Amino acid sequence: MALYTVADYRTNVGAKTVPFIPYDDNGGSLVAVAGDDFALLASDTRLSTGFSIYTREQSKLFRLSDTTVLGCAGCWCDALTLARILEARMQMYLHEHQRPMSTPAVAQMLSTLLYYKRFFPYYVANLLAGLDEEGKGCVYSYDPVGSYERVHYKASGSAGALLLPFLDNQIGYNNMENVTPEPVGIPKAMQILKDAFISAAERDIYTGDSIFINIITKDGIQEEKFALRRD
Amino acid sequence: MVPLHPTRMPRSGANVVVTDRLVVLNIAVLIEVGEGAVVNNTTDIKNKMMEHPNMAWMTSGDSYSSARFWHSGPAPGTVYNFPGGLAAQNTFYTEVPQGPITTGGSVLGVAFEGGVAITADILTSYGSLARFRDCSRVMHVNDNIILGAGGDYADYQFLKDVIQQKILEEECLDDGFSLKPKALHCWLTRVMYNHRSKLHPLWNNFIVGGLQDGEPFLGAVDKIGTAYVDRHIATGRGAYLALPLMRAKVEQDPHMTQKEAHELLFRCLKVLYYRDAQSYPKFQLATLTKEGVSVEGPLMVEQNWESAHMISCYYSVDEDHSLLTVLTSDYGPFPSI
Amino acid sequence: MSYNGGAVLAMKGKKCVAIAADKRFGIQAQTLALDFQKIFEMGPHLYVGLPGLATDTQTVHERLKFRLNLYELKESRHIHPKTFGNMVSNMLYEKRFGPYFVEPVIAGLDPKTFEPYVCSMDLIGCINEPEDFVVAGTCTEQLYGVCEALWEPDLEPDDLFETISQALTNALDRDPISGWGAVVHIIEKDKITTKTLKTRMD
Repeated sequence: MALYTVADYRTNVGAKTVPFIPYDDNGGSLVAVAGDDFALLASDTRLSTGFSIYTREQSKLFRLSDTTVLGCAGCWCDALTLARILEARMQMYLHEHQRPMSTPAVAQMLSTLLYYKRFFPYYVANLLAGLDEEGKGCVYSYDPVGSYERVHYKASGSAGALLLPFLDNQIGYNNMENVTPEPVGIPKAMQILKDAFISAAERDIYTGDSIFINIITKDGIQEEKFALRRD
Repeated sequence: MVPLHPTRMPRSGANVVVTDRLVVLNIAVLIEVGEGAVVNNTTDIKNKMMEHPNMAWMTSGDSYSSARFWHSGPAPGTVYNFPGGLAAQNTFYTEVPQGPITTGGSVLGVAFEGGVAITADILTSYGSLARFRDCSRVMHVNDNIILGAGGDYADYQFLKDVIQQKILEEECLDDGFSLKPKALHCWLTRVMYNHRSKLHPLWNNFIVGGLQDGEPFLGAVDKIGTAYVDRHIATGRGAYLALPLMRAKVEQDPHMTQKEAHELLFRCLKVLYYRDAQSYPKFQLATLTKEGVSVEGPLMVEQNWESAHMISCYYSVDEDHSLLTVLTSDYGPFPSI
Repeated sequence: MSYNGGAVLAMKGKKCVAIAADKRFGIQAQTLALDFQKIFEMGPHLYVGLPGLATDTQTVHERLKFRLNLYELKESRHIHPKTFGNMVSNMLYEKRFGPYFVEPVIAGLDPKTFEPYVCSMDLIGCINEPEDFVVAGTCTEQLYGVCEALWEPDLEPDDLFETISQALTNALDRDPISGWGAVVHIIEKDKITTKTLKTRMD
């Protein structure tokens, strides 16, 4: 066999060069709802790449404290890294201040962490849900480079566009007439959340298999699982 | 020194040309692991290139891949381009193309009742050339962990050395503790992610298997640090050809025995051998239970070509199948069904 | 496809169909008119919606009307919505390599049996004929999301109107280049009801 120079093997036969893309889109959807004294955060459990499914059992929720949960979907390796850094920073805060970080403080820190990588971003959709200092439910929504806002409810990730208008209607009471908007309770929020995911799983191939739901109240975080279609 | 193609030359800085991919890779690795000195002038160039990664990709989707994830902003790493602005042209850096050179194919792993099994064939390829036919791709890490590797074989060998050094240092402590599978899986995740973040990836897929607290563990890591845990994992073309078989089996029988797990893997390897051109009939099988680790092989894929004559242009039908025997004489006589 | 913006949606009900669209006409982010017609009556029980590039909306409508007139002159009968769908598809595929930028949606009743029918197609005429609803335009993702959640089989005309209106308006609100009012047609055997909807104007 001929000896190839470096210049040769890049342009010639033999080993092909593959461009390296440091990101992947692993899909996944998130829904969060804030109530008066609770917050819900749900993610689907499908981890995929292109047309193949890595696993059907990957929760995208990260429990950061007894009152704060992070939902992370998009480029899974970035999600893992980001969650890990957040967990470490939470620990440092805990040891320094002798109390866990409040949800609004985590929210600000997450924004800062995301913007820190502005020119090589974490390619993730983030939802942060929990209870604030007054014990009220809160949800924070982010873009990949750290722009964030506090909202009452939010859907994001691969099926964000499919889920959101339904939540607008059912939780935000948008385009409803002769109805007095009342704050949503846990049972109704759960029902809407499940319906939203069932619908999204019909049309988004990156959403399915099942959902993990975290119910955050002052008594702690409850976990629930709900099956979705697996095709 | 062979000059690179003009577009691949670093256009600013010293006129040093990086000729050997592995040199760059090893330096990157040394920085990462924090051992040894760093060659300054080469890393300067490398750092310049690292600071300004090319971000022209991922701007649009096509019918086979999803469209841009972040619809409303610029592609990750780029800045907003205003009309008439100066940001559009990039003359500072050029991309150094890279990719796997000598590669291993699929790796398969399943967890069974009381243990895990990982298997991979022993072929490494050079593009489409089947180059080396005796390359072990499964590793006995310690009595808790086995590891299977796909992708660039040099990168695997490098990481294997690092892992073996870790294990050795740990054994020297002689404190009765040893590395556990979740720890290695997590560590690999970080190594792979750190390399991808410097845009000098270790081009591998790994499957880590083991027993942790008596429970079987099976985890995967890829070249950008994507990590997950499941009861069955297949990488490379195995993800398309073998994983469906594994899922079907695990779904109907979630508590496999070791024997069933082995049979499942053999079946998957057979399917891969028949339909994945970059596979090979010789393979190794690593099994881990609380009794210990065994790495068997090279073993042979059980094969049967009796129906080959039904494919018209395979070869002309020969009464005594002599031609077929010639074609496969390397592997001895045909096993019967 | 997203130069002018706009969305069309059609749904099947019990012995009825509904078709709805927004009324915006704009050029990219700039809104220019609030009375742009995207749905056209093609027969007593037949409507077609043509979201996409506005100029092609009008051109395709004119050319379809022409072909439909020829069909009706020759056959002396009303066209079946399915036949009409094939006519649209055929016309679009004639321009396979330089297509009209419209994604037609067809809704109608069988002229004899009054069976409901809906279909949609892509810009080169690939027909999609589902059992429930069809969506097209710049907010298809949002429309799919709400329609999957709100639609159910055998809706009566009034319920169908409520469903299609809620689906459309809530989807429009999450699309910046669709909206600014909407129109809904409910097609029944002996009655066609056209209603206009007030939606967000921002």
